[in-house]
Amino acid sequence: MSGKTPYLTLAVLAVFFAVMVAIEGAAASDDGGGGGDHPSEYGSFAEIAEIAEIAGETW
Amino acid sequence: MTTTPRPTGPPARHSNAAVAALLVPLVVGTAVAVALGVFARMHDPTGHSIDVPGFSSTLAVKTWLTTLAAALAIVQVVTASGMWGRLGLADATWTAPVHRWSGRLAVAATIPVVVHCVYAIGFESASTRVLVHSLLGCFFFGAFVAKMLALPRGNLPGWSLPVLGGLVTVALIALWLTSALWYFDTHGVGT
Repeated sequence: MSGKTPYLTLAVLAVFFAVMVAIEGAAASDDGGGGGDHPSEYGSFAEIAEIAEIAGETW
Repeated sequence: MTTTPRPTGPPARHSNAAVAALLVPLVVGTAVAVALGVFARMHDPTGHSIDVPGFSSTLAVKTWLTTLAAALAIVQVVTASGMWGRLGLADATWTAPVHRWSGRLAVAATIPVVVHCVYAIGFESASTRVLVHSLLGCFFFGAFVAKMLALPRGNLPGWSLPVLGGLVTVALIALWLTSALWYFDTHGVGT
């Protein structure tokens, strides 16, 4: 790879990163933050805690 | 896009100037890794997950995206070896474009994963596996940025790109081992 292509790759991926952050932020704010009671918000902590319990781990 | 000259092997450059050319990519890459870790550690995790049709949970989505990225990392190793004259692929013309696009897709697949990890979960250290995974995630993106910034520089030591690429690949495989493999092991292979 040569020239400016790596910089362009980084820029595109950075934009994608920013879009994903915006999506996460919007979804979280719609729900008033973590721990909400929307059915889709049985969030990562609950999932992880459940799976970690299976694995005998502590999160 | 300009035609990329195919590497024929590591050039013999070991001067101080060549090593110094690595400084900016390494400093920026380190800054990215530290920034990710500090943000993940300092902010309040949202604990949020987004439902994706066809998947039972956000963790399942992340697991399969990471598995896709790890599979593409293997493609990276094969094509990089071919580009450097290994595996009898020295004359293959497809290795360079496949290497570039598999790398882009691999990192793109990890971005939704890291955004959720950083934003919703944060930097965790409750167990060795989780701590190692958190550290590897920060290291992976820092190493990737360093490699991208190093690529256009023509005066690097010959070993630098294989080493940086190797670190990115090893970090990605280790991320898979400490997350997706663990998920498959504890939750079964499914979506």
